[in-house]
Amino acid sequence: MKNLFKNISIKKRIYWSFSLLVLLFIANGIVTNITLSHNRQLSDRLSKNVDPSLQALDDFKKIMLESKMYTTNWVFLRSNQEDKKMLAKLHEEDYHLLKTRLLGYSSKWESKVWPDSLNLVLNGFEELMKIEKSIMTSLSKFGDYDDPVTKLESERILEEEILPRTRYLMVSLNSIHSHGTRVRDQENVNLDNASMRLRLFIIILGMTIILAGFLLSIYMTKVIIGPVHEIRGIINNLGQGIIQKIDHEANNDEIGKMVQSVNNLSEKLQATATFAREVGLRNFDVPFQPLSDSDSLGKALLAMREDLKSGEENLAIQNRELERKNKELEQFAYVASHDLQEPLRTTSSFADLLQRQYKGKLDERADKYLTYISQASNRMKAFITDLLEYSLIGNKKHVEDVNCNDVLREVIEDLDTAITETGTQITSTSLPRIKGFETEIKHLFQNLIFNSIKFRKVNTAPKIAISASQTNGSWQFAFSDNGIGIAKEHNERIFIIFQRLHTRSQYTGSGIGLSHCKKIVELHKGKIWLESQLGHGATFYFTIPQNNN
Amino acid sequence: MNPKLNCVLVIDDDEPTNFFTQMILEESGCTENIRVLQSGQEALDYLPKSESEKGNTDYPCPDLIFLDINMPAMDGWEFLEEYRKLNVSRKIIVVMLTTSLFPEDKLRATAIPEISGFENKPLTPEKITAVMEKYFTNVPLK
Repeated sequence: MKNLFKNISIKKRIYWSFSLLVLLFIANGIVTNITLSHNRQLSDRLSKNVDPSLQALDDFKKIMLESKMYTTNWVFLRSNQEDKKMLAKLHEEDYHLLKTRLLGYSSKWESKVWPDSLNLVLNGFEELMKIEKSIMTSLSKFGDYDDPVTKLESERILEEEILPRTRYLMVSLNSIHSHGTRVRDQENVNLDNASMRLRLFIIILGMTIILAGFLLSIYMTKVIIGPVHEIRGIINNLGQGIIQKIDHEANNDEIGKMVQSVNNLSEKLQATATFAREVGLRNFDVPFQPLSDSDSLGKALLAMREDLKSGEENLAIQNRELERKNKELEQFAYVASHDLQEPLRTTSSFADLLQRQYKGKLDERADKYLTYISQASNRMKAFITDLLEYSLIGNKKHVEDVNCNDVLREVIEDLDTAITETGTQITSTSLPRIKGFETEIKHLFQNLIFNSIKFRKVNTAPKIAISASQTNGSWQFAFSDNGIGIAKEHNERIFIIFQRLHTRSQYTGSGIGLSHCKKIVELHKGKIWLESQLGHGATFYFTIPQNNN
Repeated sequence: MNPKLNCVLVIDDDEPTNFFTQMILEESGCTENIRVLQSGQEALDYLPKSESEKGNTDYPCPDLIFLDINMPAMDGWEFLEEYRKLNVSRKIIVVMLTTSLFPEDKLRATAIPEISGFENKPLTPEKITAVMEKYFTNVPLK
């Protein structure tokens, strides 16, 4: 039953509800009309039958009294011709007219008792009239009164017949009259009751209509307004990117269809959103169809996926290419370390051998040539070794926790000979723990400290001050010395590989040290620079980001 | 005083290097015989003969092998694979003698049980002394 109700459309429900109200109105009209016409009949009967009947009965009583009076006068007032005429007229005209009237009304009376009683009274009166006639006949002439027998007989008839009969008939007539009055009163009460009932009916029906309308409006509110609010909420949420569904069962009506449409919309949007999220997570193989030919969002997402996919593929290709290039570079380093070293080593080995075995046996010039060959070969060897080391920076893949205090201590131990020989003083504040490549950091410290020792002033013991401070999420290290310093115009150049500022006879080295430092700092995503004045020492700064991964 | 070795095998494709190595070995006087082979294959041919033809002075049994890594056709690593298959009955010390500065090569060498040592070229009298002291002190030799 409930399901059946759910399948009825709201349009039909409104139509039926309206029809019900109209039916109630029509019923109201019909009942009112029927009641009114019934009342009209009642009042018609009262005015056209009951009231005239009572009037006629009154007239009958009057005729009866008149006939008694005129007959009495007939007997005792011999000369009263006027009354005699009236009695005759009453007998011959008035009574007949009245009888016709009374019978006319009595035929319409509902009760049979009443006409029967009336007929009895009429018959009684007619017998009375016959008796009166006998008097009128016996005393018809003036002289008849002189006959005492006739006169006496007439008086006796009057006394013994007419007066008692008239009394008796009057009693009957009064009884009929009072019955009629009762009937009339009853009819009036009926009429009043009918009016009252009609009023009551109209009031009850009106209230029923109002109540029905009220209940219907509540019902419609529940059926229409409630779900409409809910749908509005869902659509508002959709506008804010919150995708919801109406999860309770929907009726199979217009609102129900709207709920289904909204749910459908939510589902489709959800599917699109899910697809977009998957594409965002780079799951490119998730199946997805645009919702329709004009689904521009869906099509855009598909195009986006294709773009991302091909971008990813291109990236993968480039990555492979990059890996290949890196492999080639490693190969190059290997070639440099081995294939270039090999002939060089041979050259230097035999130059050394030649020097060892033939020194002094050739001339001085030959000795010098051999020395040059030997020196150049050794320098070349150093270049190649440095170059290889440079190319191997950052070869290790993972950063680790590096305690810079430990690193500094190890570096000072490693450089012990140089430090002792030059009388170098190294001071340091407490250094932080950083995320980095330990070997490379050690290399960096070593290069900076060794540079300060190497480029010291003549006759001045080197002093190196090391400190670290926090700036903008990075550790900033400072290595300060009291060495020969660097002119400002060389500040950039000294970080370039194999660039030197001095002749080999002044300072040895391949000129790779600071480019090494730069590469290590950049590997840690930091910066390196210096502040210096020629002849007044130098301070090298570098930064290492604190959250380095 | 270290005992004198019966034979040292040098496997390297580079002729000047071999000349130099041989000279250093001769000067050190650590061995009776020195055999220089220019490829892994030659060494694979030599070793079984030195086993089967004992006493043949052309194929003295080696106690020590200096092995180069980078050689044409069969490199040092490939030679070691084949060498393992030979199942040589006597213990031979194999020392890699290479120009490679590549740290990975050294790591790789320590992972191979047949390799006892890793030295960079050129061979020097000091390196020979170190090898002799490390592997041949108080070892009775046949």
